[in-house]
Amino acid sequence: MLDINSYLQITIGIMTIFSPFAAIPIFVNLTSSHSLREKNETAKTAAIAACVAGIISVFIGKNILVFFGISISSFKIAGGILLLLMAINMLNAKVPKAKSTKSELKEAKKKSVNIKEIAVVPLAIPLIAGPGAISTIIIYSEQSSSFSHLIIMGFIIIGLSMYIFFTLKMATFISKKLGITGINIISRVMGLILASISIEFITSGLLEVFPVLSIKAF
Amino acid sequence: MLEYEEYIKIFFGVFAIMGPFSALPIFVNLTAGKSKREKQTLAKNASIYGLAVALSSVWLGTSILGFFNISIDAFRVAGGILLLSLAINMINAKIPGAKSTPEELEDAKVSNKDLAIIPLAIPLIMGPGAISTVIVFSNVSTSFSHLFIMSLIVAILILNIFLFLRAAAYLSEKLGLTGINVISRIMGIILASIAVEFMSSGLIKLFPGWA
Repeated sequence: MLDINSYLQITIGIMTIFSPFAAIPIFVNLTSSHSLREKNETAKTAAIAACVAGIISVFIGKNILVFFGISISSFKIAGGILLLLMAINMLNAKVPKAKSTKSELKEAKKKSVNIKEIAVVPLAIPLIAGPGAISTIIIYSEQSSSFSHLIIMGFIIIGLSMYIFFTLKMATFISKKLGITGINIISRVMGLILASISIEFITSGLLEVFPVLSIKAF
Repeated sequence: MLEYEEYIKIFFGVFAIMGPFSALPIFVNLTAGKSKREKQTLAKNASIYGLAVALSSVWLGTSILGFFNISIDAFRVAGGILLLSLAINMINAKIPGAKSTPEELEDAKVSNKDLAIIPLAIPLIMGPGAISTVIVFSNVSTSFSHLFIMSLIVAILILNIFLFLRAAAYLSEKLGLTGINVISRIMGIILASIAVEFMSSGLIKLFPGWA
């Protein structure tokens, strides 16, 4: 188990990448023809699906890495690079391709007559819990091998899923209040934080892979 | 507090990213249909809000990083990468996405909301690049007098932006698009060097073996 400060950092770290703000404009776009009740239903399903994906990553992420014979150090570097690319996209107020592509959106828009079909894919995965979020969660879950650490990680994910649910529930209101520019400003600031977190991942991975980097020359 | 020369360096560093020139064409474009008086009120309000953001970055930047538990070294590297991508855009005379996207401009033009805070103050005057530059420079020393001088520097630079925005229509006519682009290309080169300095100073701390 880690100390409380580390858990605060983990929560904020996952929050920036799990962030529903990138999902809000797409959610509003996809559900524009739906009734209020259908929208709430979609928000609920998406939040639950993201929560399940997150908890699965917490508990079996390590086993998956072991199965493929991938060391956590190289996974940190790779995940860090992926996060950095996403952060740069967020800084430029673009929707990262790791979250959604244009043709995916077109397909989803066609399907959006049936609300059941858009809540899990693409809203929950990959829009909220995409490859960036999953690798962040796996890296944080690896920081301690104790069972209580994994339990706390699970609770963090559940808490953040509730936050996603409420944000999506108010998505129409938020997007009207903030406008495109307001939402973009939030994602730019989140991008700045995410870029710093990604550098921390990359450096901690590199220090493990190349121990010589941590030795002072004189 | 730092040496006198250091502050001159900081001043020009922040000037490169908080220069008024990249904001000029966008300001002219956004305020095209407005009266002279409205333009001046907009310039004044945008500068006041920009100043508020800049001062909070000076005084609260370190605490915000502390709140998010981000080490200043990682932030330097990340900010350096952001500045480098901004600088490359400036050298190519493009409006960086970190400052404004075409959709945002479209949105700002059709909406009748007050443009002073969004998009003029943030992200045009004080975008993520300017905010991180100010935070990194403010973090160099923790003394009160250092933060005070930093506040003075950003206040002067905002005042400079205000004066330029007031004369925006005249200046953009005088300089022309090419003139403004030439200036932002030169600023881009300076900014790129600052970005590399940020990255290397962060990396040296993160990898002691490189020192």
